[in-house]
Amino acid sequence: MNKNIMERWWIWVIPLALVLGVFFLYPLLNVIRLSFSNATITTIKEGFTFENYIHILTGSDFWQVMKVTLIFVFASVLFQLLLGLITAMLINKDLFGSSLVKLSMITAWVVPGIITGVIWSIMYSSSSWGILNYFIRLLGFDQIPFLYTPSWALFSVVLANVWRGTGFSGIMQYAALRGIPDQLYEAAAIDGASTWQQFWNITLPQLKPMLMINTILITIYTFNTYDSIFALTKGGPGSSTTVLSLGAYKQVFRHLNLGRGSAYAVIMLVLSGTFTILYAGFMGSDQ
Amino acid sequence: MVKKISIYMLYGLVSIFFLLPILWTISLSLKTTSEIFIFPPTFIPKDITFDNFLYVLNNTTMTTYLWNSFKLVIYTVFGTLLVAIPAAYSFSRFDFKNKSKLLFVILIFQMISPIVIGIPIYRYYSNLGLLNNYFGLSMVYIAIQIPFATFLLKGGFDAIPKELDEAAKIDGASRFQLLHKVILPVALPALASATIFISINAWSQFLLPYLLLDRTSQYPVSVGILMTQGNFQQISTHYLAAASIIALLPAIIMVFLLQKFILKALTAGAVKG
Repeated sequence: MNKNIMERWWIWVIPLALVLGVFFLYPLLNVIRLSFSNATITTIKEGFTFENYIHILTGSDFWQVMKVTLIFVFASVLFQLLLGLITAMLINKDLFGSSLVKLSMITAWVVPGIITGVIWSIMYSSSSWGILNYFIRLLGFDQIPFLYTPSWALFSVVLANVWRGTGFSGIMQYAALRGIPDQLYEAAAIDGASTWQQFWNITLPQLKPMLMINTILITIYTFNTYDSIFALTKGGPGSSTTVLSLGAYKQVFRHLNLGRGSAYAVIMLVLSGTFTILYAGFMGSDQ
Repeated sequence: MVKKISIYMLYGLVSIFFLLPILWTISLSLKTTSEIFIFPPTFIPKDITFDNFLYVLNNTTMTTYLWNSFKLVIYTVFGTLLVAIPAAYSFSRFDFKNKSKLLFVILIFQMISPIVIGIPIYRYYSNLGLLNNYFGLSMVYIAIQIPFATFLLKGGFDAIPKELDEAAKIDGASRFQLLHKVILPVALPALASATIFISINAWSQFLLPYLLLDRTSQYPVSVGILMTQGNFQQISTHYLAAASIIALLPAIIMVFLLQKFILKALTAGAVKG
């Protein structure tokens, strides 16, 4: 009897279902419900309302947050992909020293988000320990107020995020590069293809599946990034670096508006759900 | 030759980009108070001192934060493996309808930001009295780690030939014995990769402990350091740098020791989803 039941697949999945159900799925359903309520952090009973979504979608705050999120995600993803590709191609040359590059990439990638923020806030400082401004002055330019004007602050949070995320992107693309058969390049070389032609006609098309997967994964990770921005700017100055996740946080824990914060969270959920479906569609068509 | 040299120069450039922030922080953490104010800044400190580290360890609650992070990592690793191993076994060794669909559903969870579940969990934990409670916090940590851990382990189990199971089955081994005696010992690399990933992620968690804990004595390093950043009076950058290095050290040591596993797990996890 006991042995029989262990022959069922689902018995092994019960713990997973329980933990995900109670600590993930239930909160998820709850946040959707809360987004349609007028709950504040202290209310116990709440009524049903569309007010949160109406208020969010018709107000300017939300669209400012969306704009910041879009710029942050787009710029981060673009540079993580490009730099990742360049570093991947470099370490794929496999010269002495490539393992140092790999090691430095992974090192940056394992730095916790909060520490990334703390370290970069030191780098960006305009005091004597702000090494970046030292270099900039060395080159004969004026100091840059990295964290103190809206556009520089946005630039700075993107740079810190690119620093942390490029290692991941690069390692993934490196793995894909290694999977390209050497014969393709050998045949092309015999046909007299230049390095540039080889890159354009072999490397890029072969790399395309990984580039797509990478793009979607990085987009999702970047979209969920919170820690490094929080440590660098707390979303400021003003709301110039407030991305969606920070927006949700501010609504709930600063304005104590649980309903509105939940609506932000649901919008995040819908967007990352869309990316995930794209990802799945892509993985599916790939097999 | 010229080509080789230019590649080496690029290697240098890329390494500097990734390492400069960390090396600079290390440099600051080893400087005396007066030296951090010297302009132009020195890259290698003139008198290397470990006073900043001693100050941070002795005069702040940093050691408590470290210990708290360590505890949370241990709970999370054990809890996650306990749940993910049987699930991964099921996905690897049983055939059933809609298996890939179910795996996909689990994958979706991985894509959701902790803030989304953090909001409702904050609310019902405060009703249940589970705020400032490590059990409550660890369960959420575990829940967010399970999807990726399950995928990683399933990949590892899949790589083990089924003939091994068959042989043990003929000897009359139960399913549990199969997993325990046959699969797990062979799957050590996959278990190691999963452990590394869970540990690094748990160590980095910020938002959840920030929301669900409000006692300084319970903060993990990630939250603690942010509080430290605000708490240091006057001149503090060298202390902050030392605190950052202390908080980073466990992750960096892991990278140096286990680079191979991390590389493997990274690529395996990505390709498999």
